[in-house]
Amino acid sequence: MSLLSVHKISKSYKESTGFLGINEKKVLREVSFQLESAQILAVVGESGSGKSTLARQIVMLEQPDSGEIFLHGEPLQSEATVHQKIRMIFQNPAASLNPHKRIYQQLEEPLINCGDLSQSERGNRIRENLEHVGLSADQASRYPHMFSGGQRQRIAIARALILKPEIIVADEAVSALDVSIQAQILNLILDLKDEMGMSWLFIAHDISVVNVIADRVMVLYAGKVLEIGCVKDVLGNPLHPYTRKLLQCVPKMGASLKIVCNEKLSYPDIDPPSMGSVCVYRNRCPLADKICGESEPPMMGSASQSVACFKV
Amino acid sequence: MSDPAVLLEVEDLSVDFELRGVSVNAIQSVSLKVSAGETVGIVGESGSGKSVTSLAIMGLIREPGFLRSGAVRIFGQDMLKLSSRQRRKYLGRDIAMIFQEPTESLNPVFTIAQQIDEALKRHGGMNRTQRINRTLELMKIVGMPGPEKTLRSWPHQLSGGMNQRVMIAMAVACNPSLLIADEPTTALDVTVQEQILHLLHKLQQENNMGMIFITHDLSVVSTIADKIIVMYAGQVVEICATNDLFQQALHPYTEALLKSLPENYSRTNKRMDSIKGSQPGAGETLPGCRFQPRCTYARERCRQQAPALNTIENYSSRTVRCFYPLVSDNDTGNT
Repeated sequence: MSLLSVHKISKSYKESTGFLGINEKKVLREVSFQLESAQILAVVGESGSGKSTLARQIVMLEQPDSGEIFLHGEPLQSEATVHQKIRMIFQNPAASLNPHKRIYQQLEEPLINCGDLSQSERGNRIRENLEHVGLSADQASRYPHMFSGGQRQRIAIARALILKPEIIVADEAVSALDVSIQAQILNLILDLKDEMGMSWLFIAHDISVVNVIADRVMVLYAGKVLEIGCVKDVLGNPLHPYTRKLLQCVPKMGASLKIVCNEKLSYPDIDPPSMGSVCVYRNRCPLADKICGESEPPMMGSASQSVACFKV
Repeated sequence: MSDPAVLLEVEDLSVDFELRGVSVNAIQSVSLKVSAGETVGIVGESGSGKSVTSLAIMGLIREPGFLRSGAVRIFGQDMLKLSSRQRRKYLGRDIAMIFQEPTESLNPVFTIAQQIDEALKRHGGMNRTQRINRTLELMKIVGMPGPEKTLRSWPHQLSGGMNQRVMIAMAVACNPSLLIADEPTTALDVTVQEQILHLLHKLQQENNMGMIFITHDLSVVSTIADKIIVMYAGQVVEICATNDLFQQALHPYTEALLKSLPENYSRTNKRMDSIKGSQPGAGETLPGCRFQPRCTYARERCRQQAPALNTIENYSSRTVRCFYPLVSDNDTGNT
């Protein structure tokens, strides 16, 4: 049984389209995947692809319109259990930590809310966690502004770890950091996975980061999973035209832009089609033909790599 | 000036910020040259002084910041000696800038057409019909889908990538000789980033424009820049040609920066090398080299004396701020 199993969740937001006009915008379309223990699953996609919306459904900040999420085979129901078992880390640590509270208070809060530890036990747990993320325990009495960006992200991770969760949902947790600090945090995530057997849903847009830390990767486009599988297969041998395009666009170290620059510039239609059961990528896809506009490609393939495309 | 191809010459530029009566050094004696058709990349961590350098070149440093010393010469004319009124004649016409966050840099209460028109009105000397035609032409140059419709839109109706193209259209409206792009693709998706990089490169080739490209992303800068300037804690620590930098870094900081790139660790499951510690904060002064506390090669001399920028002859005249640059022992050009 998978640790976390997401089964066909969909979500729409209502969007105003001028005077009295209301439009349903589909943000997630029947997203399904499994997360095993001690595994890092990366979610990649452009902005607006539904990555963060997916994260919000999993930590139960929102309810999906349809579909179900199972933790250890049990449907997610009570928020209290979810908040203990699944924790979240946000992109910008400067914004997600409370500037008015000392680090100690911020780390203690989840312990007070979700546990029955005595005060001294709480103190021990906080010290333990700070040391785990590479900070010293005597820094706990400081305020967030007294730390650097990388240290603040460590604090955010310590806060997520404090209830000993099984899954951490990290929404662009390293995007705001400089490369040298990013490397520290990625090392820390790998250590935590190995030592504590923790699972991560790691949302990112940087393919090179995903390549370093993830075991599996899921490619989202317009709220739809286009390709999912092992990092080695999906990023090593991408099958979906969109995954290929995404990998092509990653700037390669030292590869001169001048060589490829003769290619004709093309600006495809950015807006994904909002209606019907068709392939969501067909407007931008170089391989699209009649069948892509008639029905929706099903997910096909094996556990190590499956893809939703008629053209592979 | 001596070399007519040199568009911009920055000499010994230092900017301080005054915080609670104490002046804090933001950039210290930055010097650089940009020639026509050349792209100079400036890389460094946040807080290394990349953006302050570009703002100082544009003459946009405001209170509590002030210029301590230096000269910024555009076609031999020192911009910093001009009044802000005189300087405005150059800004937008000869030298233009693109900012990091396109949606925030555009004015939300004017349409795209009005905003592009503003630059043309100020510098172009064109009549209304000519300006309208030029605006439409610019939209096509930057590859905007549905140019007429876009011109009537407001910034909030466009995506980040489209807004960035509007910013670029505004910047190149008067065919500037020099374009400063401050993290122009950082806020964008990789697919859009690729388009914008190609667009900038194409525009540069067509107009033989000089460009300063500021970014923290080494892989982006490696694809677009001819020359790279690495900054650390307000100082230039290394200047060299792009290819040389990726073959061998001479400054320990540059080496550490390259080693901490995730590209080098793909699917190895190895832990990455990271730079221990953090940059000295604003106002922290160190007696020796600014990178010394984090440097793995630091020796006694580095803790006492501050190194100057030195040219290393044997290494195609690369410039490095380090007493012990990472060259083989027998051919140190440094004394």
